[in-house]
Amino acid sequence: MEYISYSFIAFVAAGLILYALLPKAYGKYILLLASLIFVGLSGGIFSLAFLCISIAVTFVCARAMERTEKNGLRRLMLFLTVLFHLSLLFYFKYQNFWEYTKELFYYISGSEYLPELTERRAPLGISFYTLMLISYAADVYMKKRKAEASAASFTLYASYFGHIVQGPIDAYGDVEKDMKKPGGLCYDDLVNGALLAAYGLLKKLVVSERLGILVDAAFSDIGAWPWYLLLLSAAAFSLQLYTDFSGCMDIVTGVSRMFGIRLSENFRQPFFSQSVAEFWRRWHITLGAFFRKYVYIPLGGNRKGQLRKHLNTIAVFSLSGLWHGGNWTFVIGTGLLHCVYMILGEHMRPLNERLLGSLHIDGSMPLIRILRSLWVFILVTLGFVLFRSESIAQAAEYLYAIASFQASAYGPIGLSMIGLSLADVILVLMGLILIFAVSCFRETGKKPGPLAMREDLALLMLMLVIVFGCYGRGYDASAFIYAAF
Amino acid sequence: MDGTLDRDEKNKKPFIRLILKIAVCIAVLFVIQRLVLPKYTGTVIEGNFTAEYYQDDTPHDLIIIGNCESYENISPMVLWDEYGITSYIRGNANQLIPQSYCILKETLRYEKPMAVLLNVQAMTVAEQSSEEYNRMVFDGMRWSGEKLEGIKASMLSDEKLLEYVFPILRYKGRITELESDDFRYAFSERPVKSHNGYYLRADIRPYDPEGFPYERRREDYSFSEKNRQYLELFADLCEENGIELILMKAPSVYPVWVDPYEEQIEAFANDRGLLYLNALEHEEIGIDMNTDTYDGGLHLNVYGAEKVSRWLGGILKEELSLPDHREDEELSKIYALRMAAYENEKQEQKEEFESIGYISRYYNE
Repeated sequence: MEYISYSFIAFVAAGLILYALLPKAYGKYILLLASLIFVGLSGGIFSLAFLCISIAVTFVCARAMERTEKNGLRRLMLFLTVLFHLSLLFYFKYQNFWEYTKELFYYISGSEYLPELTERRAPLGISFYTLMLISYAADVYMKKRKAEASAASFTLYASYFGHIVQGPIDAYGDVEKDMKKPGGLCYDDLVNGALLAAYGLLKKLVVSERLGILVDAAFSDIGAWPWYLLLLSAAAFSLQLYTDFSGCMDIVTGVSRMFGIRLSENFRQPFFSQSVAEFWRRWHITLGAFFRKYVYIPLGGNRKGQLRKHLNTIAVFSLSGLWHGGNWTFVIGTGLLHCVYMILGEHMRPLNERLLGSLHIDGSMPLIRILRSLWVFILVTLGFVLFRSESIAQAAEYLYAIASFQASAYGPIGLSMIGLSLADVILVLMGLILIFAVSCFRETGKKPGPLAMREDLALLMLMLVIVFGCYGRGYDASAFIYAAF
Repeated sequence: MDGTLDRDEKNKKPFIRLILKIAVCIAVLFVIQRLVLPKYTGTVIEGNFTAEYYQDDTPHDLIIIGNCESYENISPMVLWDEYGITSYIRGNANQLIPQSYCILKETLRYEKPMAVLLNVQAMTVAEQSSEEYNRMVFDGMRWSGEKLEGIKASMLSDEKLLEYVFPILRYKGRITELESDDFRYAFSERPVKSHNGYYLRADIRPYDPEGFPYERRREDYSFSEKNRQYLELFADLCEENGIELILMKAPSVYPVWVDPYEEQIEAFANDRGLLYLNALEHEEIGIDMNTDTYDGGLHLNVYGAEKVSRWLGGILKEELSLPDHREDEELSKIYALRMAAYENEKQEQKEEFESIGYISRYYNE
């Protein structure tokens, strides 16, 4: 069962009806049952079994950690928990890392190597629940929280259908209250949740899916398209990734809100960022928070000198890149390249400020802010080209084609050659304008309008999705990019 | 007491407001759905055939059911004109046997014919090859248990039942390519394109032995289990309703009707005591594949269909004693109009074909 499917709509509707009919005290158990059913239907018994084992190991180890004051034993419990989770994660997700590494070395040395890849089916959501369970165990170890006594609440936290597939990677403390005692049905939450979910569907089905057509066309035939189309599709991929991933977050956050569950924020207008460092505080927020809290700070953060700070940054971004998958395209595209940006950015900042000062330009004026955001967009797009590529060689070919102003092998390019129509382009542009407007509104921090207006917006967006969404036959809209991680 | 009433009224208001808003949205979506539903007014008119049946309120003694071999090879107008037989073809492109069964069941809701003729070529087709064919069968069909059963029995693995219930979910992509006919026929009936379900073609393209791919040899020519089951159900349904069932293979030369197919149908007909007509084996029909087909032997044109109908009508008269209704004044009036329309279209197509060598309305085919 995917988030974008008729069966998921029926699943949510059935859950809400049960929620409405049964007493509020049963809310937790309804959600728990629904989540286990969701995992079973989406990932099979295989996924359910691994999830249950992972939950049991973490739950028992955390309880054991709490029962003893012996630091050695506590450390051993944490070590065993982390080792258990990382072993599973490495087994299922990094079986091809060595092959990709060989491919990279061959490429650097100027020869070609075809990696022998091993397909291995991973349990549903393993990348996400592994981090959630590790964060919980670490918090118990560091005595930042008590071990959960209720197995039902803890199982609901780890298996909750709203965050198991693509996150957000909620820390237990952030959702504990709702997992123990879900809020129950409330009309305001229903409307707000529906509005958010409809907005997410619009991002995904109206905008992201159409951008994907352009991106897929470009990446499938790099040598044939002209440089300007490749450049456009690189930018389109950044927007596709954003609308796809943040769209999914809006859907799950909205649906969760309808059940009275408040998930953590995962995106905060990332393309408004003034620096790459800020981008990572606005993009996939919960992943960044995890690595900051459990890797960067324990390693010393920025308290042990400039060199250690840079090394810690490298460690965090390498792990973050690696988390996306055992391929160097991820390690560099969303990891090491961003380290370079951040370290260079930090050293360039005084120079930048001096330059603006000498030109008597106010760094906070709108035009400068827009230019900075644009610059950040260009930098992250470069990384996303690697992220989207199947190999470093393909990314290099793509970037070289742009840099060398490659001519079109097809002659003049028409929209139909890419698989788009003029209507598609207009819809994407209108969708992006809407997303920009909503982002500007959110940036102001103002509260949304009255309930009646939110009802209208939710219904309007749902209608737009039904009529203009790319779903059904001919589309694989159910496949979210981040569901693969 | 008054305070309680006020509070109740206050609570009701937002609820009523929401219901009204949802109703407006549903109404708008319904209008959009009517707009985006294919109207089949272009080169492919076959998508109209299922719905056209409901516009005919005359009774029929004979219902002809099947795929293109039924609606392109038999002319109900000739059956009327020469034998006074009232008939209607409930056929669609690539209509599968389970679909034919459900259409027969649905037909029995509206009328009880004396005889049903089933074209058996579809027995060789185990499953649907394209969603469009399913859509052409079901989009125009009224909702009933039979429609649901037919959809379930023939849906492709990537089709969704919900998209049949709410066709807007399937056709919403047409919103950006609407044409004037989409608005014209959104809420009004489209003009009838067939002649009692018959698809008239008066162009000629002679049979070309090289024009079709070689028939691939198969290890097993057995009909699929599903088709066999539905053929049994089809025969049972006719039997239960006292309807004479006739099985027929049209004289199309492609797809090749091989001996194992013939043997299986013969065995079934013998077993159930049914009349089976294989037009390929009746030279007296006089089919000339140089003049009687419009696509090189796959389907007959009107000249071929008229020959088949004359031959078939004679047999039906003789074997089943279907009544001659030409003395019925009311029916005669109705059929006189239909005959005129039929002859008129035949003549128009004939003249156009003789003049430019093709029929322009099918030019894009």
